[in-house]
Amino acid sequence: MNASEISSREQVLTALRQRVGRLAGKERRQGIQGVTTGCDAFDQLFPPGGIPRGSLMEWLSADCGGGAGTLALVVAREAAREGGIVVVVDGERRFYPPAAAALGIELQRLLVVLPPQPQEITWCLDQALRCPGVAAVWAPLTRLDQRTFRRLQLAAESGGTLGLLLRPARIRGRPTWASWQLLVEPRPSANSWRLRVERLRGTGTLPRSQVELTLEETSGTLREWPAVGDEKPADSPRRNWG
Amino acid sequence: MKRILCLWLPHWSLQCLGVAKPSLRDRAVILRGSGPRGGEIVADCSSAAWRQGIRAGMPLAEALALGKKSAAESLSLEERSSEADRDALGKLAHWCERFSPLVGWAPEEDSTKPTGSRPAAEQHDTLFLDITGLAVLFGGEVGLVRQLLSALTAQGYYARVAVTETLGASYALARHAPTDLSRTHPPSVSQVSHAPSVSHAETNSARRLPAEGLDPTEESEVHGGWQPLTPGVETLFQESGQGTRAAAWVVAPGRVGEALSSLPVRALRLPAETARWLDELGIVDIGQLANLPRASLGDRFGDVLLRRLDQALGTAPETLLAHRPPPEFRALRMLEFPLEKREAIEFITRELLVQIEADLRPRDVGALQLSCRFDCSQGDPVQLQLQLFQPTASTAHLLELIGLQLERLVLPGPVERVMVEVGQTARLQEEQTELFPVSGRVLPREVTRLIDRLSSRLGSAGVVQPRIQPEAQPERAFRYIPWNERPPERRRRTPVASPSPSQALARPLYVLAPAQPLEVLAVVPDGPPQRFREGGRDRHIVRHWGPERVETGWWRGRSVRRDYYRVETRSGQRFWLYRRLEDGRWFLHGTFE
Repeated sequence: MNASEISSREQVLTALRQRVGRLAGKERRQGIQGVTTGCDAFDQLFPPGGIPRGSLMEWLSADCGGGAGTLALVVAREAAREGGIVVVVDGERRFYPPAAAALGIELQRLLVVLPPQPQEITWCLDQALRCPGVAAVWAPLTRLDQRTFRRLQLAAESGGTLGLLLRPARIRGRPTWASWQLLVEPRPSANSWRLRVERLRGTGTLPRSQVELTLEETSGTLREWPAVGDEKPADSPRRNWG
Repeated sequence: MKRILCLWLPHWSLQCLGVAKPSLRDRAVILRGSGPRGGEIVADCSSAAWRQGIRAGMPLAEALALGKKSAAESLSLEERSSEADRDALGKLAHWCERFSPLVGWAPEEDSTKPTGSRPAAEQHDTLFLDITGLAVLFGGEVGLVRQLLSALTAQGYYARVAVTETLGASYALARHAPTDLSRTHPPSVSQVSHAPSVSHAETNSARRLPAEGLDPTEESEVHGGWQPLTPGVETLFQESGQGTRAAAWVVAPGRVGEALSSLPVRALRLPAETARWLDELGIVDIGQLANLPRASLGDRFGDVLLRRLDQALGTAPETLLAHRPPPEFRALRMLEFPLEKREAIEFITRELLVQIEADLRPRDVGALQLSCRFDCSQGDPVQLQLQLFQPTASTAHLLELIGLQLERLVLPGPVERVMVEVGQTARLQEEQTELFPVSGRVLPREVTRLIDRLSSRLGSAGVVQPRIQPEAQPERAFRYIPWNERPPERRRRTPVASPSPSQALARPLYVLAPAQPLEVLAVVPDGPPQRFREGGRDRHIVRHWGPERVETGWWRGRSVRRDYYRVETRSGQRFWLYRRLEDGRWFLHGTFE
């Protein structure tokens, strides 16, 4: 083949790739920015415009103390950067606001909902997701049936809200109405908090499906690991939960 | 300078009776009432009955016997309820609004309640008008009082009026100022006063005349001179069937003390006991009382005396209780056929809300608190309460919020009556105030609606905003404020620096309440644990930050002394532990989710 044929073939392939990407990716609302965190490594798990609003995102974590909630809250913070409020639905009464404040969430724009009974949690989520003035909803949620899940997804779509649900890792593999599903695992590190994020579900063909990040201690900035100054410790076996 | 007019209508029940039944005028009339021990007594009597020897407080049987004895004319026994008196007074108050927009009563306090044989009907006989600044409209205060008295006399009422700077002083003057000081003819037998609850002998300066309300006044106009008797006090005289007597007093500004000094101590609305003590001590008039040292008065007689004195002299505030309550927004529907279906009940509620909106909007107010009551044919009535974050007059919004509560409501039976009432109102805001300082994608109204909806279903404690407190003890480092009770935010251009930990990862996202005691497996002396058991697993610690010592709360009773450690385990998980210094026990306080 000569050069011109190669280049035209390249162009055709690029054009086709773009078309497929557009068809497979979610329809983005005109003029509404997706959510980006400023950390390239993390943002590459999502389409170029950022995480599209109006969708549900599941953050899976296998054990406690794993960092999934913190990461999700960072995303919520970015979602509300241009406006809107963050709603936390705390069914288990464990949410600690000073930690959210330390991560940079503006408390004046944080609404904490304390449902008195577990049955009310999904209703609260539905209402909050439906509201256009809410930028992000953050909630731990253990049990969720399919019908309610679908309702929440539709609510998020209609309100243009980003729903961040913290869920146990054992639901992995089950059918879900969330557009995105991320598995977060902590990893040992010498300097900062190292977290491995794997995208289990997503829309569109995207360059990366997993990334290792660090959360910096003082500033809470997300960076790709290894960042400058991080030492690689000796690799420990993966499933060592001790 | 405030000017309060006190309108005292002596023997109000009899006056009302005289107006209601003009045929009873000039006749001997007894009002019956029930005595303290249950028997029937004379509540009040007209002057004709008085002349026959009947007195108020006397047992009814005795009075009837006296009446039969004198046989001059037959006695009429009448009855009047205190509600009727109160209503009549209310109507009069309403009528008095032509003289002042603020007409009312003195705030009721226990000390003004009668003791002894004083009938309750006599309590409702005083009105207060706030005439500050209004005198010019009537040609001066003198003109106002004259017009007021003339108009009252034309209606058949008899009153005494006093105008001073304070409620207490006006009350005292109107009731207790001497009425016939300027007349030269000696007081006749029939003018001996009667019936106050204090049993000591009356002095000349305190006279209450019997039952003039039933005697026709000869002149329908009030005339007579305004004569300054005491310096600073103008007195107006009124001609009546019993001669000319003083009917009104107007005290010049600043002269309250002098005007009050010769009045009896009772005029200050004191409890009967206090008045009795004062009398035993020989303190007869207010002038003497005012000269006594205040400290000893307070000690001896309690707060009430000092408060009344201050209120009368103007050093303590006292406000009028307006007779006209603020407008009510209420809509009510009685149903001919009791309803059971939810849709129908919602429909009715919607119509009532439309009515209320029609009332609210022209006044430019919105509802802040709404209650909705369903009376069922069986069982107790059910009530819904709605508390709103911002005042609203929108039927759709209110119906939505009520609907949320209605869904979960259990009605004991079919609904017969629906009533919707607005409890609290506030001015409607023309445009949305900015709830949040940053504009952009924010739609404040939508968020307000969300808050209202959530609060309506969860209660206001369910929708909260966290506030950081400057407290070392982590559990107390924040508190939740219900959004409905948030103080209004000032607009801030830059985010406020909150006293949160400077390090982003210093505090865990999940905090356990209460902290979980830990099984610690290996401990370095004075250091963090190296292994602990949590969630059924052993955790090996590879890194730790701390100790962060928290010693606080000794003033709250139990002091808190802890050493906090942030730890990272072999697998990278992070936990927040502390060692209690008193006993060295370890606890898990939070996890870094």
